[in-house]
Formats: sequence, structure tokens, C-alpha cells
Amino acid sequence: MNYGSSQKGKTRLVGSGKTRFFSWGAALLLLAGGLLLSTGCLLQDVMGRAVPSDPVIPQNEPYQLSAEQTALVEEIGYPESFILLFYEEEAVDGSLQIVRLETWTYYSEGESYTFLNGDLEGSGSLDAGEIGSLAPLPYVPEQFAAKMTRDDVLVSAGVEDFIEVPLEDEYLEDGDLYYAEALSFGLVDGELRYLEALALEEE
Amino acid sequence: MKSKIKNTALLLIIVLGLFPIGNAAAESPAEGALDESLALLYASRSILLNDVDLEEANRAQNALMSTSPQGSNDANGALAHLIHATKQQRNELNDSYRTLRAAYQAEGKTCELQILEEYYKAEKAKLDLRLGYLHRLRGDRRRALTRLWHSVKRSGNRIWTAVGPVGRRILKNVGSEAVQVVLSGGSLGGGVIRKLVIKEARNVGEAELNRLLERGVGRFMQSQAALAVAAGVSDCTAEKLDEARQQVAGDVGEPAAEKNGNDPEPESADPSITFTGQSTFLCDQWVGDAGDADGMAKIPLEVNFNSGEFYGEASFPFLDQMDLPQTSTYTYEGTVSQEGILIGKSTVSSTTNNIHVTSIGITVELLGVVTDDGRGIYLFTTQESDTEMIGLFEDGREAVLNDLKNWGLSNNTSEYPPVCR
Repeated sequence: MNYGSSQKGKTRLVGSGKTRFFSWGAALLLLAGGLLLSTGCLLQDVMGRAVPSDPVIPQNEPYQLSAEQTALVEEIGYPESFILLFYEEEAVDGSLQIVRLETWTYYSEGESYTFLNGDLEGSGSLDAGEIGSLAPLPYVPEQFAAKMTRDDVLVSAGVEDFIEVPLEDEYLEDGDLYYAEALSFGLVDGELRYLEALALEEE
Repeated sequence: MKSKIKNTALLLIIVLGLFPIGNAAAESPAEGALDESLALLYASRSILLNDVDLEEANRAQNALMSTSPQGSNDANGALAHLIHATKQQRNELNDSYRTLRAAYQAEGKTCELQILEEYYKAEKAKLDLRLGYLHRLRGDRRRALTRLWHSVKRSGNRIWTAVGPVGRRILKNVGSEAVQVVLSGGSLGGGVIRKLVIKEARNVGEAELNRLLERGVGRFMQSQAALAVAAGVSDCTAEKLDEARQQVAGDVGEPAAEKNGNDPEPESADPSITFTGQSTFLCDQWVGDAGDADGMAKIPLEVNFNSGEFYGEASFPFLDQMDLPQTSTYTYEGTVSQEGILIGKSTVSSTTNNIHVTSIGITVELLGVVTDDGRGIYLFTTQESDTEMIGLFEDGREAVLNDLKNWGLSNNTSEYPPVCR
């Protein structure tokens, strides 16, 4: 007890200065962090740190292209950009079904195709105007599937550097956006709901 | 003692700050899975294209000029993106709603109106609520710093440790930094300069978006209608709803640009549609190809009348214009009498849905005549709906399809004297 009391007093004595330093330091640190986080945006490994340190292998079922999608790939190749949306839909029997809605865009061909759960739902021409040489898109649609986590996406896409933008709860609760090279994707409750592989024009 | 009080006060401030004050932050107004996915898409595009709400941006600037902390300005800058995204989403919803409501009211389509009204009210309420939350958040952040701690709590240690000096810098311009990472993966080294195509060619980016929305919302409306029937909450009969689903699904998702640009009306209301085929409509024979149509829908293409019979197939040019696959096929069969009376039927063999034709999947009865002035008039009637369409061929060169009522034409074919007696 005496030892403790003595130590406590000593600590308090020394610690009063240290505590004050840590308290104000911590407060300033938290304040700065809070200010930064309040914007809903932060930098995550954008300067080249490898993440995640122990890669998580995607546990979800990989997506397989449908027959129509495969035929399109064989005919004109993979899309130069694409958008994927994943969402749940309530069936009449009350069950929830996952919908995979995707648009594949071929700027060079001036065509765009929309698939719903792999079925071709529509196609149309695009007036892209003067577009220069496009950089090869490093992603293909089947790399991504519903229910993927952030790390699943990163591993599958081979992405190491990215920006994370947590969205305000008032906009979308537990929604996060991510930006990486030629890629933007969003998660809700940690599950992939939106992904866009972006076409880049080289100068 | 003094320092203890200070430390305790600090601790209290921090601890209290970890909990949200007020009720503005708790509930996400975006319910419904499709809404959430779309909200992500809109927010992402808003940041990538650096689209901000101008009013909000001005307020952020004012906040900077006042005594508000620097963080408040950054927060409002980021909020401006989200507010813009929400407004954009709401604007497109309003455009679709107004267009459809006018069309359905004009056509007396009460079932479609019912589904549309319910859908619109629910969606608009969500978006309005979201905007309200965002505005309130902006106000909260101007007034107090305490709410900032809520973000710390929600983000957790991982994010807390990840924030560094570079992170602070990046917060000041979310859009440009995000674009930089997208363009280069974080570094613009190596002399490679690239552009974001959806930023360079906005119309293309919007077209992609609209196409996606068209399918997504169309399917969503179908499921909603089915649920309404199953739940017995709709006044519409199952048959009416089925018809309504097809109608609404095909219309709601029409690209906003087309709506805004052309102020579209119901398909049947455009009298300027023509086709420039080389067909010849004789008493008992109609031969030749119809060529391309420049309007919404021209049928038939490559339909032949011969020896009192007609047959053929027709594709739909308007499907291409609506970015729908050309999978539908009209098949024709029937007879044309020496009196010039056409009797037959036309069946759509396609299983394609989501298109603005009430006759999809059903057989259309044809009844027509060849008139004295060389016009061929087809009367399209269906049992499934009260739609009556007419095909009008003049001199074998022009044709229009339209609603009989809009054209002031009678559906009594006896009023059109046949030419081949």
C-alpha cells in the first residue's frame, strides 16, 4: 500500500506535467483528427503503403459471365468501362434476391450494353465524340461479385493504393466510397454495392 | 488539483463528444437496396466530376470567412458534394414523375398513376429527408465542434491511425484528390497524363447512367407492382396491374436528357412519324420492303401481300432508339379480300419486356381496308387493353401509327370505302 501510495504520489507529481502534456496533446490530436474525419474523407495508403498487410482471400462465390456476356466478350472483347450495381430485391414470397445490374461500355465501338443478372437487357449507341486513345482497363467485370468486402475488392483488383471516403450517416448510413486507379467503388455495411471501372484517355 | 480538474474536464469533453448530440445523425433516410446503390453511384460521380451544390459551396465559403474553424469549411465542402448528389437524384426523379403523370392522366391510365404516385411519394420523401439531414448536419457543424467526435467514434482506430499530414491536406479538396488517384493510382509520375472519359465527355457519362437507371428502376417498379398485388394493397386488378407494370417499367427509366430535350409525349401523339419504304399497296397485293423508319415504330417491314394473303415479319426501329435489343418480331398472317378488306392478326413473338408497347406478348387483331385514295388503313385492336392503333399507308410510301382518337379517325372501318371492289 505504501509502495503504491508512494508511487501514486510520485506518478501524480511527475504525471501532472506529463498528464497535462498528454491530455492537451491527446486533445489536440483528437481535435485535429476529428476535424479531418468530419469531412468524411481520409487518405488511406495513398502514398504507397501496401494494404492489407495480410491479404484476405475473397470468400464469396466468384462471378461467372453469362452466356450472353461471354459471347459479347468473344465477339468484341471486354468492355472499356463498366458499372456494377448490387442490390436486394424482395420477391412476392418475401425472399430477398440479389440483383446484379451492369452496364458495359465500348467507347471505341460507340456501344453500350446493360445486363440484369447476366441477361442482356438492352444496348444502345453512344455519342462519345472525339475520344483519344484509351488506356487498357485493368479490370474485368467477373472480378467482382455481390457481398464482396473492401478487402475482397482490393485483393481481387490487385489494388494497393486507394482513398477511402466515409460518407456521412445522414447521406447513407455505413456507406463508404473508395477510389483507386481507374476504379471507384462503394460499400454499405461493408458489402460491395457499387463499382465503376473508369475509362481513361491517354494524352 | 487544478490540473486534475482540467484533466477531468477534458476527459468529459472527449467522452461526451464521442456520443452524438441531437437526433440528426442517427437514422439513414436511404432505405431500400436499390436506393443505396444509386446513392453511392451519385456520390461517387459528384466527387469525381467535382460537382458541388453551389449554394452549399457559398455557405462553406462564408463559414471560412467567419470565425468557424477550418474543419468546418472542409466538412461543408465535402457536404456540398453529397447535397449536390442528392439534389441531382431528386431532380431526375421529379422529371420522370412529371412526364409520366402527364402521360398517364392524358390517357386515363389510373393503375399506372396509382403505382407511380406511390413510388414517387416514397422516393421523394426519402430524398427530402436526406437533404434535411444533410442541411442540419451542416448547421450543426458550424455551431459546434462536438459532433466531430462522433466521426472519430464511428471510424474506429484503423482510420484514426491512418490519418496523417497528407490526409489533412487531401481533405481540403476531395474531388481533385480522388480524381488524381483514379487517374494514376496515387502518383502522377512517369509523365503519363490521362483524362477521365466521363469527365471529358459528360454526355456519355450521363447516358451510361441513364441506361443503368432505366433498367434498374424499371425492374424495381415491376417488383413493386407484383408485391402490391400480392399484398392486396392495390386498388388495381391483377390484369390492370400487369398491364401497368409493362407500361411503367418501360417509361420510368427513360433517359432524362431525352425527356428534357424533347418534352416527350405519349408515343401515339406524334403525328410526324413517317417511313420511307418502297412498298406498294394494291388491291390484293402489297409488295416491297418498307425500309427504315425514322419514327418510333413502323410496321410492317418486309411484309408481303400476295394472292389474298399477307405474311411477313417486322422488326422495330424504335427498339434501337430506346436502347433495347431487337428481339421482338411481329409476325403477320391473314387475308385481304377482293373487296379490300384486311383480316388477320399480328403476334409479337418476343419475350422482351420493359418496352412501351401494350401489345407485347399478345395477339393483335388486324382489320383494315384499302381506300379509294390509295391508303391502307389497319385497325389494331387488342382484347387486353382498349388500345386501338392504326397503320396508315398513303401511296405506299408513308405511314403513320397513331391512336385513333388522337387522329380523329373512326374505328369503324365501314366508313372507309374499299378501293378494290
